[in-house]
Amino acid sequence: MPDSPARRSPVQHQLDELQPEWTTISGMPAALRIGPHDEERAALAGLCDASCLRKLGLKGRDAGAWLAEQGMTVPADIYATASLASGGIIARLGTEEFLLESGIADESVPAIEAVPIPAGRNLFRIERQDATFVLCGIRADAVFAQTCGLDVGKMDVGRVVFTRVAGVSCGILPELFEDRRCYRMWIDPSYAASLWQSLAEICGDLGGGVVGLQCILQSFSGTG
Amino acid sequence: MAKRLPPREGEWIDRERPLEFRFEGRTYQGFAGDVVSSALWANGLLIQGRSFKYHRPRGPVSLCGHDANVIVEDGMRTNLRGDLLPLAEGMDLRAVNTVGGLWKDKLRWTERFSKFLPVGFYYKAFHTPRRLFPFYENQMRKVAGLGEINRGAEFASTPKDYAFCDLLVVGAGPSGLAGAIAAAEQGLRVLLVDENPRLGGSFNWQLAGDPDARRQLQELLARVEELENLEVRLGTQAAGYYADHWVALVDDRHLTKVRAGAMLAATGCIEQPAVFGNNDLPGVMLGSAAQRLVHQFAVKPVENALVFTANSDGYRVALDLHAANVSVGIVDTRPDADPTELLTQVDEQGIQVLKGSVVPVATHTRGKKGIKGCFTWLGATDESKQFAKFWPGNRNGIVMSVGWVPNAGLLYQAGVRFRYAAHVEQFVPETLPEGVFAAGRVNGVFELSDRIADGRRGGLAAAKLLGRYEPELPPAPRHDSAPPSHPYPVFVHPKKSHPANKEKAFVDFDEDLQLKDIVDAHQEGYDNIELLKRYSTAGMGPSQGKLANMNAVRILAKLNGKSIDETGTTTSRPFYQPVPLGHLAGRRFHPLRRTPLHDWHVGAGAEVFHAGSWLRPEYYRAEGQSRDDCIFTEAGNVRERAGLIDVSTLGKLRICGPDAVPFLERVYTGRFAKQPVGKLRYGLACDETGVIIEDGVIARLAEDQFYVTATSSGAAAFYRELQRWTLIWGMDVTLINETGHHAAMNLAGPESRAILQPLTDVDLSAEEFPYLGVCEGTVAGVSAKLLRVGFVGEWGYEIHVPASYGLHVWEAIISAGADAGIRPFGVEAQRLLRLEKGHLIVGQDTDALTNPYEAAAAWAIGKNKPFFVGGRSLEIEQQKTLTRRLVGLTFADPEGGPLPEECRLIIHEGEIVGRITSMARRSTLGHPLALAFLRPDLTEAGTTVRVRIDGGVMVEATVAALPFYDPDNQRQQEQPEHA
Repeated sequence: MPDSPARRSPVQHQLDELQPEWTTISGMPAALRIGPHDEERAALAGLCDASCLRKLGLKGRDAGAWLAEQGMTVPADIYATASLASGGIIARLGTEEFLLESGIADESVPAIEAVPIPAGRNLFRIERQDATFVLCGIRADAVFAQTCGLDVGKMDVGRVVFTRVAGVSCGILPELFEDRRCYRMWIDPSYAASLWQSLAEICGDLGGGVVGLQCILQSFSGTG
Repeated sequence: MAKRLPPREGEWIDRERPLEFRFEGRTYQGFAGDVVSSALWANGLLIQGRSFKYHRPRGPVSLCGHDANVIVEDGMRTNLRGDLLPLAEGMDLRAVNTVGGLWKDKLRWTERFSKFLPVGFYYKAFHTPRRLFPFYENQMRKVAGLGEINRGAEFASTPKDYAFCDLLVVGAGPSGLAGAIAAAEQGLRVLLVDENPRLGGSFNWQLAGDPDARRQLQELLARVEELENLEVRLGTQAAGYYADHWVALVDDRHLTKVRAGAMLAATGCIEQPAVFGNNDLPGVMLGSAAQRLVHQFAVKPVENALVFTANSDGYRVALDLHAANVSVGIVDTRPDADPTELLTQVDEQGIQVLKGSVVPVATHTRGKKGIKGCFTWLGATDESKQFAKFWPGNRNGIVMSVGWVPNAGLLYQAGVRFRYAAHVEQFVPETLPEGVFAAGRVNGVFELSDRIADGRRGGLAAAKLLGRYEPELPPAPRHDSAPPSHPYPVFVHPKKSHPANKEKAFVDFDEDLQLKDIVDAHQEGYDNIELLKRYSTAGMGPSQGKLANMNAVRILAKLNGKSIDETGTTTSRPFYQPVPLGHLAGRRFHPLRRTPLHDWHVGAGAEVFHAGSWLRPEYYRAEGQSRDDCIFTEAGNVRERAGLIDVSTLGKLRICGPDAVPFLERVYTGRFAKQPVGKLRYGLACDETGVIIEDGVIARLAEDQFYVTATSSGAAAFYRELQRWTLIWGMDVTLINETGHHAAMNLAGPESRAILQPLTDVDLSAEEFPYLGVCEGTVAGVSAKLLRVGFVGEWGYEIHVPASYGLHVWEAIISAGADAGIRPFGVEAQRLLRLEKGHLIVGQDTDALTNPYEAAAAWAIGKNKPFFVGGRSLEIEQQKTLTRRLVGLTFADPEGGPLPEECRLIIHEGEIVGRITSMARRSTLGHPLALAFLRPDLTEAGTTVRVRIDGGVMVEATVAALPFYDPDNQRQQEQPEHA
């Protein structure tokens, strides 16, 4: 893969319009700061694009065992998650399916991708190009109240829930960031722009809005 | 504000905030906290609307939205109910349903012709002559209907939201408050909603004159304040109940969808009017309305009132009116009323009571703008007794307090079964579904202490159900005094010819439906309550029969000689009160899929269109060129040089595992066991009936791994179908849907190889990478799958890369092909090119009944396969005579002449023999082309057929062999310059 920022977030066009301060993470331009009100917005209802985080899917009967062989802590329960070494996440999406997502400075996913899968193992890599959004702030639950039929505020931290948000299927992972709940969302990239538009509008209505990665960087760097 | 009373404890108005508003062109004053009707009343304006049919003057009856007498518009919004509409500074209101204004409504003369306007007169009178019906219909539409939509109204954001709770309590009166508190005290997350702006329900009007009740209200309110797990939403109606305790809450801004663990309905009762002559005149109102005026809005209802009652509630009303300096008399239908404390108080206040009497008719002032008195009939059940003018002259108000019906819409919708209980003369819940509870007056409990106890019991019952309360529930209270409702509050003089009976006695104020209308309907055979409702329109107006349905049921029961239970009720459906359509619409979520190249297409001038859930470039605009020219130019460029199209919308599925081959052989019609690794095959899938549902290419990446493409709009459904078959067959396959995770583009045209080769590490020579080959390598430094396909009939490559790299690769190819004349092409050019090549599109050239034989795709069915989905059906189809077959048609090129569009019919000897499925009015072959279904006996090449187009014009076409373009597939072979 090219080292230059050849990757592109599915919502890069929407971010471009906000003229953010850019940085490059894992070969993808990432909006570091949108403007001077990022922190205030993030405290209320902040929507952040973290699609730059690399992802990998694994599926097959031997997926769990193989990941354990690579030294990873494999979640035992379906929808449970565990941390990767440097802030990344491994989520068990089914009995035989896993999603790995790197942290900001975490090369777990490229490292795993580089490991050849031995012949004879029932194990298949899956291309995961999901958009990753993070919804934070004290009114994040109110955003979900307008978009999702589940009581997101009552979901367990660290467990993935698959549902529909604003009509788009996605996975939601409630997390704690500085003792406050925030929500990581994984979305099929083809639906990402549509969902982003809906969420950004609602966040704006609730006094928040789009924020840069700076606001939540700590959360993904493994020190949050 | 001549009718405003001195300040009183508990009033809802804020006298520190006077407001000015206009009604029917005149300026009035009110206070914050007023509703429009109360403010108008305070200004002495009793006439606030006109009736629907006869345009009779009307004033508020219930003052709580249970009638539709006062409907106004404010210029932006229409059909606002004046008795619920909060007063605001600067309002400029007009009554709806008038011509020339409320005071000089030109349609008020309609009543003079009322004899000729019985129920359904338009059905009976206007059916002949038929040619005049449009005229009649037009006139009817002009005079009927309420309000006009303002198309210039400002957009108002009305986002819907969800809410969750353990217990939803509907109604914040004595029972609801007690129930919510009891449940919250057990730890439940409780949501308490009430349509009124304040907590308390009937505490605020019916019991407002009782100091002990006021004290109890304050205690309950204080406890509500203390409980953090008890949320209160006021000004919120529970508009409808749906399955699994899903309740729609509507406030003035939006709709909330509540999912509750349980629901407690403490919705109270709706006071019912009496049916008597002129019972609709301004000044005739319900007792509860009079109490609301006095206690909530500090407005004197009338100067001299007659309270017409059949229960002890009327005595409470009389005392409240007396305390408000209203001169009061009571007519009680009961010869011997209960000796309650209220009777004693009435005696002490010197209020005159006429027992065992009824009011059969009110007398009106000139123009029916009010009442000036009434007749009473002494001896409610004995027609021989005196019929006398009672308190004539200066009585300007009749206050009705003859009974109640349970406000049970939500409970009916929740599936609660009701029975008629004689001890309260109303329906009461008999069986309730799990998680649904009722308390208070809706449950047939009327004494205040009983209502509080019943509410508390309901809250505890919900807590018990949800595992938060273990002890036995307290006993259910039961009403044990006289029934609070009259069993038949319809009062007419028994002598039909008596002058009193000539006055209109209304059952439904909304639709001007009279007692005689129901009697007539019954005589015409509408003796079932549901039929009666639909014929007479009883209960079909804006208030949905809140004041009419029960009286209609009682009248019909009497006419049929049956009981109330036997007569039944009409079906209760959402919504409880009218809901603005904008609230239902809410924020619009229409998720659309974009490819990773979408923004590039837009920047390049693409005309984007909706292809299923995807946004796709139809074509790219070019200055000075028409749409057709653009499409034709793009297609020509593919034929002559090279074109690049975004095909990221294709379904991209992976089928892996030991059983991948047998699985594919079951799903598709073809064979795959001998498909070499690195090769593509066409795949055609049918359903169990042999109908084509999908097609695509199947690429073998490894012995146990296949990469499959599917149609853009059908991929999601096809993937679900594959998952279903996996489970049914129990095969060892792993299915992976990577549709959105790959960008895909098709580079096609004679220059495609030359453009791509410098960008890839794959050897693109015909020997190393032949037609229908697949390989993995890199393009522009990005991992890619390359598929050598020829959908558009040219040498080409489908390039699949991770979505995030899509734009990088696309731009690299466009840049690399600049000198070779590469251009992007859109979906329309692709459709033309594939049509020239004779490739069908599933869903366009096939329909819901097309099998492979009809689609000329029998070649795609593998020989001697033991099983595949639809195989058995196709065996049967094969034995039948084909009725149609997909063929090519060519048209002589009449420059600018008429040509058919898709779906036009092919006619032969007066019969329909086929239809066009795909049409190209212009092609790179120099003449128009089409694909069409055609009767098999006409499919021989060279046969002339005729296609009917607009205006019945027939256009000749000639059957042609497929494909039209490159029949020998020479374009996929090595060309001399590349060899």
